[in-house]
Amino acid sequence: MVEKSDLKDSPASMALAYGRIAKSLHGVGERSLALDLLDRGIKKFPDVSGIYISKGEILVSVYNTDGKVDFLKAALSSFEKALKLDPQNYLARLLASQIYLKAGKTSRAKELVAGILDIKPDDERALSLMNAVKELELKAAPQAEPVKAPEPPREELKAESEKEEPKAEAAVETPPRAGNSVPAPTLDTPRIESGNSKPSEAEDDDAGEVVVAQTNSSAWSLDEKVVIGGHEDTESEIAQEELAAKLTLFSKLEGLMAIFLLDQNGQPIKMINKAKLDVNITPSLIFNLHNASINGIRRTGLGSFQRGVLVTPIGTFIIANAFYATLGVVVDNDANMAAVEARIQRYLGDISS
Amino acid sequence: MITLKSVLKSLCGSKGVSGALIITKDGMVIDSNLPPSYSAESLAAFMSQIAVTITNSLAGLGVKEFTRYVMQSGQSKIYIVDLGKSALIALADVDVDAGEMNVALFQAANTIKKTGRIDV
Repeated sequence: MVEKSDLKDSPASMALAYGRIAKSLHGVGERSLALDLLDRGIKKFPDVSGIYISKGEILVSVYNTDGKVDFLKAALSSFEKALKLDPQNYLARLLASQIYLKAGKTSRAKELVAGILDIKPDDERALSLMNAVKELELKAAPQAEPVKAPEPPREELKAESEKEEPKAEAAVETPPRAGNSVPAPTLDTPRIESGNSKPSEAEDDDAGEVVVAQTNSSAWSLDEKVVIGGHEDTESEIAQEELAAKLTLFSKLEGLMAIFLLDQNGQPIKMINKAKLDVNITPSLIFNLHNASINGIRRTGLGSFQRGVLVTPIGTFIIANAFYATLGVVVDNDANMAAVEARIQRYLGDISS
Repeated sequence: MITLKSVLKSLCGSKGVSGALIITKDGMVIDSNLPPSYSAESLAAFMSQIAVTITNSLAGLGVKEFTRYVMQSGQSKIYIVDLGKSALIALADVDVDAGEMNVALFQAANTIKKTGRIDV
């Protein structure tokens, strides 16, 4: 059972609450409030990837409505920050790769999508993205040939861009608030550039931050065909709340270290983290292993995946399908597995009824 | 002399075990003892993907190796035992005795490690 003290002690649970409230606010049209709330949440919990993802999702949604490029850049910055904390995060990889693809940055898009496909080779969204990346690469190939044009040398443009970087970075840090006095993008549309093609390997703490350079509109290529988003969990919040509420069945389970209930995109619906496991990497481990197991069992003709039990030096992870969600229960290696199994069966039985 | 083949054969002699193989984590088959209905290459490819997913994620948690991963489907149980650069895979019946299976896998893994031939 989630005690009040658990919530009080758990930054991840609090960060989760910030994200949920912000999404609700955004849902009722309070974008500025939602983004303000998330900024405050980020100040309080800067090491929780989920809060950056929530911010990025809202910024993407605002971009999809308003079409203002600054929101897209800020969203990308948020996703890259999430990926620094949790490099295997499915949703951050998916959404960041969509933005990179839209901006024509195929190499980083490809790298991120490839990571998803390694784990889930039949992921439709990732496959479609990979196809789009390949198409774009094919189109770009002939353009790589030198073209004589009466434009200023690239070095000059680059130098100009570098001069503008500090201002642009600041703009990314503080994205404009939708509905407020945000200047509409001008014809001199900015260009998105990844500060580093592999932010995870960068030494700079700000690696992955989007470097925005002001340049002429001909250098900017936002692919209108690329739709960002479309990742929403289709199941109702009510269903998720019910799944979360039933977790009380695990109260007083001996040896319980943590429970992670994840949505269809691997984002936590509920976390009970008694053992203070890494709240960024552990949910991704559960979600990615669940997906890899489903794929592995199906592709080898061994039926359909029901349950996974991973024994590690830090504990035993039990992974199961929970209808609209993925359930990950972590227990001590000394825990009575029959009792744990019985509790999981009871939970799954209860939610199915 | 103990060979990998004999270790796998002995493991497959355990009650409820229908097949076993040893793979590298990049998906190569080192040795196998499987019923003809299974493709060792295909199993190696998908099971290595799972093993790599586990090791990559655990590395982020500061853990280098996992002990074992058991997947249950409607038809069978699949065991993956981490051997460092390689992994031991065993296919078993759904109702295999978990305790007996763990002992059999532990013995097999230890023997394989002792052969010292797995560091490929």
